Amino acid sequence: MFDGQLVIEANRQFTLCNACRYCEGLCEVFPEMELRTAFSEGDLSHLANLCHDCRACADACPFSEPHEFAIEIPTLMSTLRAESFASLAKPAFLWRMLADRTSLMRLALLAGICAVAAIFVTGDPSAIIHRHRGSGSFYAVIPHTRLVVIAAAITVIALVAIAVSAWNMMASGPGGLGVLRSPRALAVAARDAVTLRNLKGGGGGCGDSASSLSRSRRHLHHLVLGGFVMMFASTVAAAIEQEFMGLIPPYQVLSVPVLLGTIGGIATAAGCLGFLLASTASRDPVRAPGSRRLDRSFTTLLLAAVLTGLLTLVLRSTVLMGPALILHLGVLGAFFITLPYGKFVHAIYRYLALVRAEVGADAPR
Amino acid sequence: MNRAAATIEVDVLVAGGGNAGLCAALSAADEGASVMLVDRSPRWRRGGNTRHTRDIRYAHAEGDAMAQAPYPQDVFFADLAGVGEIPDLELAELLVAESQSLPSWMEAHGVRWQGPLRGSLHLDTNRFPLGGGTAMLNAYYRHAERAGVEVVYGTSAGDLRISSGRCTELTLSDAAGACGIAVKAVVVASGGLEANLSWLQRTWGGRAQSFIVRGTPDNDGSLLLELLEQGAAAAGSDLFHAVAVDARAPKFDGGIVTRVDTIPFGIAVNRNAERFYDEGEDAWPKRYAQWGQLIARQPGQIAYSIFDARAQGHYIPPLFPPLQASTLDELAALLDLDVPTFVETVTSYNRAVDDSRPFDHTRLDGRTAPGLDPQRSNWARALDCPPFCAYPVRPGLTFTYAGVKVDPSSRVQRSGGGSFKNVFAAGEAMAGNILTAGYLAGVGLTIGSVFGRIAGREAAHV
Repeated sequence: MFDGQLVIEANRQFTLCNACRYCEGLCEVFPEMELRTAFSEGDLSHLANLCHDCRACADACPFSEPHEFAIEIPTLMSTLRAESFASLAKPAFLWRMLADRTSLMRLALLAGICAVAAIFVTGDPSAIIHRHRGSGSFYAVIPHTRLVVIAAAITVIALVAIAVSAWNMMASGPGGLGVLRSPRALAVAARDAVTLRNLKGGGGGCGDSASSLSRSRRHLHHLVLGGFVMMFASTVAAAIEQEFMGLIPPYQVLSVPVLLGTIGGIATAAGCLGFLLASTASRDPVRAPGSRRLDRSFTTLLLAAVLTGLLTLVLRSTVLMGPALILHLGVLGAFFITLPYGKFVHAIYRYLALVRAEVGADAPR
Repeated sequence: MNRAAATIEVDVLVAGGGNAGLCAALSAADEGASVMLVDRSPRWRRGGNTRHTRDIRYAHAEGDAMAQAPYPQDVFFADLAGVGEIPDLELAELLVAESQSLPSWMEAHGVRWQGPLRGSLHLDTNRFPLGGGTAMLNAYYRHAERAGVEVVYGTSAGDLRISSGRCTELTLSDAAGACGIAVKAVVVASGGLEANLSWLQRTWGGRAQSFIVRGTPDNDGSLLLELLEQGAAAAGSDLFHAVAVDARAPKFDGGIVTRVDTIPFGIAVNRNAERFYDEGEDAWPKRYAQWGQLIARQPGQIAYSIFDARAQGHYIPPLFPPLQASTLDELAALLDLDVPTFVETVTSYNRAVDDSRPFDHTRLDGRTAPGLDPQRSNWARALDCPPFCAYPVRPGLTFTYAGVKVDPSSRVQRSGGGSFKNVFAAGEAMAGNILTAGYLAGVGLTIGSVFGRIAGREAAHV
């Protein structure tokens, strides 16, 4: 799973952390570390995914570089996380293609391919550049059934790939799949994941650089995730209106789907922009370069999906609605295809690591 | 320091950027004084030995969220008196009384606390700053910068110009040069002498060279020695507090992670492969502190903590793994000890162990090994379960007891009587007024915080 030197280095640093233990009040990672005296690859993957990257441990460490002990837990953790994502991804060649050599050019190309595919799907390219009015105008560009079938196919493939990776992560890590049998741990971990309890550096901010960084990143994360949930709710509301109430989109600006989608989209876009600004190499030298690349490509694609969606909303009564919709669908296609091969998987792995830590907390020591 | 001398003038100059210095700087700034704090270390190593501290002892009439049982002042005082003779009872009483308000003062200056955790160290007498000493220091530094304290790194203070009991000027020097600074008051919070080899050699001779210093390499005590030369009254003793640390540890700044606490789970032998002290004398860690001094008196200033597989799980594994062998002969060879003597030492210990009482590492279990010299009082258990393990250990200096005498306003006293009007001391530089031997966990931070706070307040109003 990991490079051999990385395993040795992680064992060196974690052994030193275990001899110190000053950080044990900061988050779940250090109490979990203390349960072990040697760290297998499964342990390393577990700890790295449990780490929420708040950096409070770096602020507390008397042994950071240039001290000869050279303890740099945030950098080590982000390196381990990126490598664990890569080794868990299935099929592996898609990770190599979509994540390892990821670049904005590649993602744009993928979105372009999806958009061109969407044009072919329309069956009637002449309908794309045309001023559509009233309900059903979107489906005049892309027929409803085709859209649903293709979107469902992409989503199912992505979810299956993620599920296989998550299964492997749990099966190969400490405690195995059995830890998923605790409903209480599943619930506590869900709460911790949503509140980002472990991104607080031990609770409350004291204005230090590490925790002010973690505080702003926690707020940005809430924006992105909150917005994401609202956009999902918007899609569900639209499906209900269409299937059960017989209302065909586009909907009024003051309708539930449009309001939820717009507000959620703006929140997600703001959060993504904040992350992109905060994650440059000069602002955040701690992060491992491979990890930064994953973060930035995922965030950029999400931002593009939201912005093209908002663009479609703005242009929907003009002749440019068709091209905007095609562009939006292209970006969405790229977003969902790359879901298992990028930063998104952190949500799944982090949650599972929280579950495992919660189960471990119950176990007798 | 390359500044025009005329431009430098502060109300309070604090020498030393550890806990005592920061408490002094913060409290002087709270009183409205202009404050400059100089730390000799580079920024990354700022804060002296406070970087390696963990907890602070404080009196509290009632239990609270962090320390659940009460710790009345008289109990704190009795604990302090139990460590050794207290040279200045008035200061000790002041320390205990003032400690009560420390947690709220610390919180107001940015420090956060670690609550009791599952499976972790917890004391009803002490509080644990969240993340430990370095995190606490960083919080204090940020607070100090917001309060307008000017902080200068890599800079030493010295050459105090004192006339008629008042210091009017001193010299700041760094790699670039030196300059004078006019001051209304000076707080000496520059720690102790543990990194001053020539001072250690006065007491220990050539043996001092093999000591390991657990903290900063910058504590050479130069300002303290200068104060004494200029007529300050001495306090404390020439002893140091030292624990057993891994002999493979770096010479300086290994902190907590090099500590070896396996000694009571086996035996300790010197370079001659012989035992030299009762390894199970008293409650651990209360007694572990004396091992530094004991090892310092052994040939080569080295000893070996020998234990077997049964000790696994009873100690926190330090930075380095133990040296291991499947037989006693092999272990002796690995340690370069005389094999027959080593084997004889272990086997005679094993023969002497009295198995009639159960082993219990959580209390003084009274498991002895009768007939040995030195005797063995507790936790005696035969070493017969391979692999056999050893930690080579050396004295790891934590702090020194030598300092200057102060009065309850933290003013430095003069050897001829009376005090310097505007020179104050806080922290390790004056801890010898209260401690002359031994240690009480967490009281180092208490002394630095209480007298730092007093010194800063008084210095702001000279």
